[in-house]
Order: sequence, then C-alpha cells, then structure tokens
Amino acid sequence: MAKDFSIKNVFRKEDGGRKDERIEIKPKRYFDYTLLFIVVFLIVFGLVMIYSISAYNATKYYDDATLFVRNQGKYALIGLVLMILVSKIDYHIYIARFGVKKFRTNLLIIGFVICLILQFLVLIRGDGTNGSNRWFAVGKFFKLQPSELSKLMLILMVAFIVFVSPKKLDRATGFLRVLFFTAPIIILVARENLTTAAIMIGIVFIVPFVASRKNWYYLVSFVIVLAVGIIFIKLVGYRAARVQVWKDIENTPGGYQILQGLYAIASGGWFGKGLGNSIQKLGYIPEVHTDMIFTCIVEELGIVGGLFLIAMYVILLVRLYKIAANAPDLFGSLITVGVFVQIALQAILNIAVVTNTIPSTGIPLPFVSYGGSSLLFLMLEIGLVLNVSDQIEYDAIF
Amino acid sequence: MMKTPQKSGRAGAKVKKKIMTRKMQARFLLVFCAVLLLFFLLVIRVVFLRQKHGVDYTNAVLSHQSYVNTNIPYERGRITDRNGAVLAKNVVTYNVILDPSVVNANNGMYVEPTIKAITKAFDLNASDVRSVLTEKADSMYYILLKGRPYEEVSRFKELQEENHKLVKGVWFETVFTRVYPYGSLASHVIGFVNSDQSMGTGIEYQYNSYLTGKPGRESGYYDNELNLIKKTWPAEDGDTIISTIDIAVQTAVEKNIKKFNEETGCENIGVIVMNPNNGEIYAMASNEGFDLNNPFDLTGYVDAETLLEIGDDERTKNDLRNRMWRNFCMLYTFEPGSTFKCLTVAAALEEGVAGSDSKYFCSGLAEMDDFKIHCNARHENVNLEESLMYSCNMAMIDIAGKLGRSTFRSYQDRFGLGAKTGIDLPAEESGILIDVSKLNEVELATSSFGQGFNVTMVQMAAAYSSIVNGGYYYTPHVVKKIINANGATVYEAKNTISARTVSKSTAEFIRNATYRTVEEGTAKPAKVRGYLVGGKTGTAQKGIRAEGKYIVSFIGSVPADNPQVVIYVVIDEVHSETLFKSSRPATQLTSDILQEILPHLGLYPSEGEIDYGVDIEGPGDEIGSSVEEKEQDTEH
Repeated sequence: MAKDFSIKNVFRKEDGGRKDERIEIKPKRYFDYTLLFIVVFLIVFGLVMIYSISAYNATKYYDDATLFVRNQGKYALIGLVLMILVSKIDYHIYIARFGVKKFRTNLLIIGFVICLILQFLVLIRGDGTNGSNRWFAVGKFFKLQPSELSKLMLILMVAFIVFVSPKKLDRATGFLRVLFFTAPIIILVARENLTTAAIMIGIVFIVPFVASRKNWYYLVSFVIVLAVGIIFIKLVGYRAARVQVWKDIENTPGGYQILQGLYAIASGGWFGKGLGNSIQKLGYIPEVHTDMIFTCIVEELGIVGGLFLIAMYVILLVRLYKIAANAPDLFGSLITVGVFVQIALQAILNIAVVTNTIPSTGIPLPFVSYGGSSLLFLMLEIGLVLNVSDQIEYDAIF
Repeated sequence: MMKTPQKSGRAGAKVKKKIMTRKMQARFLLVFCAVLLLFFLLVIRVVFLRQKHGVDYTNAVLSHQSYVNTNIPYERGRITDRNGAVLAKNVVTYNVILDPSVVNANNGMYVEPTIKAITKAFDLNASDVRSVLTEKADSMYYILLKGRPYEEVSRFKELQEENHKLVKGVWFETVFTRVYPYGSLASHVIGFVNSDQSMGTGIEYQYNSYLTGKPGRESGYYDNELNLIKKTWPAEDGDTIISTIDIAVQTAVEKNIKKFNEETGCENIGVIVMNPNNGEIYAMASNEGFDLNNPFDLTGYVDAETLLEIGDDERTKNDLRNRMWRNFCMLYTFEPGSTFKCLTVAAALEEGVAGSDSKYFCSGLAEMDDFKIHCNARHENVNLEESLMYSCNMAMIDIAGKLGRSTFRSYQDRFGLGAKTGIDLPAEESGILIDVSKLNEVELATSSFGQGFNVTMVQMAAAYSSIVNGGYYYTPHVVKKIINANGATVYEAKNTISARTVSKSTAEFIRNATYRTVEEGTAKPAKVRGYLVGGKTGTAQKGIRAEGKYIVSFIGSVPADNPQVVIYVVIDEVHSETLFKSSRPATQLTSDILQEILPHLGLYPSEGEIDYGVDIEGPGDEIGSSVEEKEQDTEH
C-alpha cells in the first residue's frame, strides 16, 4: 500500500468500495470550531496587546500609533482568508501523485524543492533587515521569511515520509531516512536562523518519535544533538556571550533587553497594572511588541494574565491532540503532531527566553507576537489542521 | 485508508476510522505531558521572579516613570551700564539635535529627504550629516549644530511641514547665547566666564552667582489612563547687574587711548575715571582688550603672522590669552612717582609736621650714604604748596624725614597701599611696599616721592579720591546695583566710608595745591577750558634705573574745589624720544578725555572767572617764573 496516492485511489480506498452507501447516509463531518475560535481569540488578543504595547513607540518614531497593529491586522486578515481556504482543501491533494510515467511526483515534493531553492537564494541574497538575510520581499507590501515556509514544508515532509512507511521507524535506519531527507533544509535554515533550525530539529525528532515503537535510538540521537549543540555554542562567539549574559543578567551589559523584560514581568504583580499601563513599553524594552511581548502582557495583565495566555495555548494543544488522535489517517495525524510541536516549542522557548530561563534567542510568541510571516504561516498550518479535523467522522470522536 | 493492513483486516473499515494507533497516542500523550510540565515550570518561574525580585524590579520600573525630563534653560542676567545701556544680554538661539535612530528607521526612507531639508536650511554638508547618520546610527541624541538663529530653524520647520511624512528625527533645543553689543568695549570690566564656569574675568566671573539663574524642569509621566501628566518648574532667570560704568565715558576713554597709541604710542596705558565721593568707577580701560563675543580669539590681540607661527601650540596660546585678559588697571604694579607726593604732603599735614606756611630749601641734589638724589630743578625756597606745584623732591625728603619711617609707613597703609582695595573684580594685585624695618634713610627718601615701592592704579585712584573728597575712603567698585528677575533689588553697593584717611582741612589744602599745580605748576596741559581741574603729575623711573625707562602719569580731580570726578592716567614707556620722560603725554591725554567726558557726567563748563569758594592760602603770587616754564619733573 501507500504506493499510489492519486486522489482517485485514496478516495476509493477510504470509501472501502461503499460509495453508494455513503452518498445516501451523509456522514457528520467534524470541523473543529473550538480550535478555530481559540486561534482567532489568540490573534485578536495579540492585536490588542500589540496596539497597547506598540502605540507609544509607533507614535514616537513613525507618528502613527496604529502602524504596527494595522500591519499585523493586515496579515491576520489575509491569514484568515488563507486559513479558511486551506481548511477547505483536502490535505491529501498535496501528496496526490501526478505526472507522466517516469516523472510522477506530488505537490509536496515540488513545494519542498522550491522551498530549498528559496532558502538557498536567501543565503546568497536577501534584503537584509536586521543584519541577517532572512527576508524576501514579495511585492511592495509583504516581506516573507522563507524559514517560516520551510517549517511548514518540513512538517508536511516529515509527516509524509513517516506516513509512507511507519514501520521502518522500528529500526534506526528508518529514522536516519527521515533525517536524510530533511537535513538539507535544516542545514540551510541553520545557516541564517539557528532558532528556527532548532525548532525544525524538534519537529524532525518528535514526529517520528510519536509514530515509532522504539525508544533507544531517540535517546542516542538526543545525546548526540545535545553534544553538538553544546560544542556549537562554545565555538560560535556570540552564542557563548549570550550564555554569559544569561548567567549574570543584572550585571552583564548585553542583558539590557532581557533585564528590562524581567523588570516588566516582576513589576506586574498578580493582576498587573491594567491594560495599557505598562511603563516598560515606553521605550525601555527594545522591540517589545515582537519577541518580548510576553513581558508586557504580564506587566499589564499580571501573572494571572500570563497564566491565562498559557492556558489558551494548552487548550489549543489539547485540540490539536484530539484532532491528531482522531484524524482519518496517519498523514493527517502526523501533520497535526508537527503543528503541535511547532506551536508548543515556540511558546515554551519564547517564554523561557523572556523569563531568562534559557539564554536569549529570537523567537516569536505564536499568534501573539508582531510579525507577519510567522502569523501567516501559523494560520496556514492551522488551516491544514482544520482540514484534517474536517475529515474526521463525527462518531469517531466519542 | 492509511491504517496498517493487519488492523484494517481485524477491525474492519467502518468500525474504526482512527489510524493513529493507541501506542502512538500514548507516545503523543507523553509529549503532551512533557509540554504541560514545561509550561508549568515556566509559570513557576514567573511566580518565582515575582517573589524574588518583585520589590527591586518594581522600584527599577518606577524610576522609569517620570520619563520626560527636559531642562528649561534660564536666561543669564544682563549687565547694563549705570544709565541702563545694555552691555551684555542674551539672544535665543537653537541647538539642532539629530536623532539618527529615527532618521534611519523604516529602511532609511527618511534619510534623503531629511538630509535635503537640513542642508537647505542650515550651513551643513550632506556628507557630514550622512556620516553622522552612519557612525552614530543607534544614537538618539546628537548635537548637529549649536546656537543657530531663529530664521534658519523656521526655514527648516517650513521644509519639514511640506514633507512631514519623510523629514524626521530633527528637533531643536532652545538655548541662550550671550551677546555683548559693544564688542570689546570695557572688556576687562565686563569680562567673561567659560561654560563650566571655572575660568573667567570681570563682572561676568565675579558676579557669576547672581547672573546665573536656576534652570527649570519639565517632567512628565503617564498616569493610569495613559495621559501624559506634565509638571513644570519654571526657570529662574539670573539677576540683572547695573554696573557703575558709564558707556559714554568708557567709549571716550578707549577712543582717546587708541588715538594716543596711534599718534604717539607706548608700551601700556591705563585710565581710571571714578567718582571720588562713593567709589563708583565710571571707566576703566587700557590699550589692551578682547572681543567679549569671542573671548578666546587671539586674532585682534596678536597679528596674523604671529598667530600663524603659534599654530596649534595651546600653551603659548593660553599664555597669550592670559595676557590679553589681564586688567592693566588692577594687575599691573608700578612705582607711582610724583603723584604720590600728594599723599606724603597729606600725611605731613595730618601729623602736624608741616603746615601751609612750612618752608623748604631745595638745592637740587641730596646726598645720602652713597646715593645722590636729584630734584627736577633747583627750586631754592619753596613752601608746602609749591613743593607739590613744582614737584620738589627735596621738600618731600624733608617731610618724610620729619614723619619718620613708621609714621610714613602707617600712612601708606592708611591710604590702602600694599593691600587689595577690595574692588569687586577678580584677581587684584596688592602691590609691594617696603617693610618698615627696611625703610632706612634712602628708602624713606625715595618713597617720599613715590619711588621704591609698587602700587596698582586702582589703589592710587582710591587713595587720591579719599584725599580730595575730604578724607573718606570708599572702596572702588564697578557694580552699582543688582536687580532680580522680578525687579526687586537684591544688592546695592554700599557707599559707606570704609576708612577716614585725612581731615577736611588737609583735603582742602590738597585740593588747592593740586588746582594750582594744573593752573600754574607742572600739570598745565591737563587744563580743560571752562573747568577747574586739579591734579598732580608723575614721572617715575621704571625697573633698572640705567635703562632709563619711565612711567608717566597724571592723577586729577574735577571740579578742583568740589571733586566729582577723579581721573588717573598712567602711560608706561612713551614711544617718543622727546617726551619719553615728560608727563606731558599724560596730562595732555587727561585733558582730551576730560573735555569729552565731563559734559556726559553732568559737569558743564563755566565761563569767566573761576570761584572755587576756597581761600587760596600761601604764596600764590610768588611762583617762580623760571620754574613755571619747566614742564619736566624728573626725579632721581
């Protein structure tokens, strides 16, 4: 099985030859509105917080208090349209084979190759915001980070590879096969954005882990990755400096941003200073509306507010878990697991960084932080998951 | 159907649609639990941060609260002359502040329009601005230009208005720039103070604490509704200083000094014009000076060639500057010469060792120890008055001998010599007197006619004033009154008598004698038509006697019978082969100056016979005609 992924075949198999019966008794489709609601809620919450937190700096530097919130809103609206659109496209289309005899391929593979090329191009040229070449200008108004696309493609690719033959994961070679196909894109991404690469490694490890029935080679490779990571940190100068900052945040000059963030978190109290009342946003925390947004959320809404936001992520993850567990096929499940891993890792890493639990690294808070590319691709991923949920038959959930 | 073949076979297609096996679900649940645990740990971390650092960090944040904190500059007090003419004031100018972090924002879309507007409005190169923007890219405060006038700023603001979306990151700070409308006039009196107030001269330095105001502050913070609450503490402007200087008198004095230097020339020249009845100084000038608007500039002081030669040698430059800033009238000490004879005679009258009827014999030469002391002529018989009129050294030696060294010395002290007068200007010299123990016969003899000890011009002018005004010593001063920003007087120079020097009768005698000195004696060129001028000349040898360098001087008062103005002119080394040891340049210059300044000071010429209301005693009619013609009064 799993050799022929043309739409026709997939449907034929799924229907189990009982096409007539299914037309007569229309199955109850499950569309996860809870998930949709939580995602929309998080985005709106993010927009409110972005406005609250960026208005001061936007007015000061751009003479336009709503600049950032409008920009983010624009991406959110486009994201919403694309999300609904994607949620209506059967996710099997991406792995449906087509083409003439000797060149049969599917959309996913083509997309993956394009992504590799983009990622390669971005290394050669890019328009250079923030020093690193992480961006591609698309048209006049959009700047996209190919690494965000790469994450999405990686999730699909890993899910696809595992889905093709899950049993191969029982041997280490099966896992190495996954690594073999995904390593090029991860290496390319790592060249320009190590944090994104780390999340991708997380996906590449955890998705097969879920699908596998063995543990030992995960332990071994986890140790290897850890060792490589430590060596890398020691070798790359600015990484080591960040570790120094992390160890002594109050007295190391480079710790300014994180320290100001800690001031914000610790000064918020249990219930915060109230929406809009952050003091630290008034120019004290650089780039506060992007990666540092959690600090001002806690400052304004308190520990309770932060807890509430984490709870929203947990509910979101619960929904993803449910969908994965009930997905009509392993491909859908693994896509959902990939999205789950990405969102969970980003949220955890972001909060860990701003609370100085780990050395600082740039990573946005999913759905909340200012940043168009990140939001857009997260919504596309949710669109995929919604489509997976859409194909769950109602009775399967209970 | 993507389930494993076994499963699909066992469970059947319809029963179970789930394809994620229970084992996979369990493993996923494990991952999920790990995620939950991590979230939980992060929540613990947040709570821990609150518990451990809550107080410190809240305080750190609160210290940020008053985030707007702008200084409002105060206006430095003005300085006016005695009639209100402004000698020092302030004009509002602007510092141009560049915020490169704003200009560079948004991919540099503001850079070119902003540079264009800046270079259009101000005298700046685009490349200079560009280099600031790249070198100080992260800076938020860079002073691009200082002290620009309002016109340029408003021109920029117009350009900014036209293109307000793209011209960004430039703002202005209001500053006051000190302006001296008269340039270098009275530069030594008005003076300057440098920016950190560590160095300076004149009123600006001496009265800095009055002139300095208190900067105001504007502070703001955000309240709970995000409203900016502003609080303003207004600046307190400095006090206005009304000086005793009369700008018309000062101008006339400086003009005549310049004229003299152009026509005759000399090493140094100093003039003090003051009111003997309260110590107010109307004018104080020398041949040197500096541009008050640019006190560090040497171009007017040394010629261009020398300046080029000095180049960047800061030490030489500083030496030159210190010389340029030096107030000759207060810092130059010299042997006063014959002008001091008034003081010797006054002391003698006070002590009763001489009277108006005292007679002295002048043989033209006195021999003491190994020294020969010459008189300017052989005066034969002179009385006390004539001894002043003809400046007779022998009479003075006689008088000083009668006074004795300790009495003589005590009178030097009483007249304020050898000590600072206490004039309200910084850095005053006190001069050098001969100690009483060393005041032997020869020293006493030479001291009696003003040689052998050093004085400053201010000391002599104040001492002479105290004699002619009836014996009241007033501390000379250049500030009359200080008024604060609200118009209240915060200081007024006390015209109180700081000492009594001589009695009224002595004063009267000296007034008569000095009048006759000008009318008939050695100081004839000091006469001013229509005025009663009294005074005494002086020609003193300077430094090493053999070099034959002379300081000539004249000290006088007008009107002679009731002095309202005292003038003291000192010329150091007249550049003239015929006049170098003649007091004529000094008396002539005095006359020229007096002629111009007296009407300004409310003293108008009276025609006809002069009645100065005092009976002139002594042998007024017996003036030796042979001596009368001699205008030379050298002493040896």
